[in-house]
Amino acid sequence: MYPIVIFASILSFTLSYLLTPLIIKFSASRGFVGVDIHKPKKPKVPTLGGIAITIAIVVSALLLLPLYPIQITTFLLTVMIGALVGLVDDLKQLSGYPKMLITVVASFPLFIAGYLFPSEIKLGRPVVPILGKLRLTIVYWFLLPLAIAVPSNAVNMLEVFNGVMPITCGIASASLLVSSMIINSKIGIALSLILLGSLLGYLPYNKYPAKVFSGNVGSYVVGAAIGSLAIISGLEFELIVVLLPHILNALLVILSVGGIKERRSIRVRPIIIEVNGLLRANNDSRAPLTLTRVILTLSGPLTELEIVNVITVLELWSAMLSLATSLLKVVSI
Amino acid sequence: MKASKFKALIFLTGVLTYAWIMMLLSLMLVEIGIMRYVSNSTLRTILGIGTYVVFLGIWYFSVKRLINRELQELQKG
Repeated sequence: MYPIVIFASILSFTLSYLLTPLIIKFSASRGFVGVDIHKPKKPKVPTLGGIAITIAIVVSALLLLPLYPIQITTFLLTVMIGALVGLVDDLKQLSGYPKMLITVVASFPLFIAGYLFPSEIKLGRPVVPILGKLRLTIVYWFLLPLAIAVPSNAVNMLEVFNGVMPITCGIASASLLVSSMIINSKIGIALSLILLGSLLGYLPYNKYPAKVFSGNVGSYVVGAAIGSLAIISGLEFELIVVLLPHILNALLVILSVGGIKERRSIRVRPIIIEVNGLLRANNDSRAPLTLTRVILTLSGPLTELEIVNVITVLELWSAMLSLATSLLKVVSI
Repeated sequence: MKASKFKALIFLTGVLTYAWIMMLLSLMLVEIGIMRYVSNSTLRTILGIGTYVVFLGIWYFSVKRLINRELQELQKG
């Protein structure tokens, strides 16, 4: 592997780690704060931490531009569209469907690059376990717009507790890194390392108790980065498997509230915070069904940290299934 | 670890594994069944997409039914 790839990953970690405190100061001074609703005292926490992740990813990926010009340009365009959607949502609060539709735009760089440079960005023939190359000649092109929209929105919808986004997406990136090694995708290794570096640098500030929230900009950037790197590296099937907890949560929410709705517009909350700080499932039948509500229903009241631990175990399990997918792929080829 | 927390973990890892198996089965059905025996046509596309949608539906609604049953049992208790 090129030393510059290792350097880019370390740079990504360092930038994210050093920039986040500056973003915290900036957000606090400009009034970009959110209420940490799962704490008994409801503290106000600076938002927009995702800007540090975005800068770290963009600057580090630019270092690799001479090595993989087409792939990195495509990746960066996707990530920057994701960042723009997230930032607009943080500042103006977009509603559910427009947000979903705008994130579809983030997949356009993939379409264009796949059309103009088919030898660099190979689209349309994903490899799956046992069967090898699929003949998704038509379906693939209908599903491609969802490759960025689904990860971005699904990551955003599960990001409700301290540390969940960097932990689950960090595990997902690590899993995609190993999958890239298994299928010998150099660009996959490089992009996963950059994403992993930025998330690890950010985690100390967002873990329980959070000093900063990622904001929509954080979840959209990371979701877009995961989707983009998986498509560019030919890890489409692994992408779906590694994000299964996010996808399950998104499906439960969307189908239980009858469509894509903005979090703030849902009146009955899925969980209730007790005075002692424990969280329990809301038994109200009008409350949306979420992954957290299911966890709390089955386990009884838990602390926020315990819920994060359960979600982490679920993400680790999905990562295992994703790795099994890559190994099965290699065996079947 | 609390027994109930362990139960939640077992249930949800089961749901995730079930999703993974259903995905593989739907792909195999489409590739080995539909793609091999139906010639390239609009019908083949519709059958292929239909199979994926049906498998997703089976997975989601069976999981939702299980979750709702657990919810109702707990509400009764």
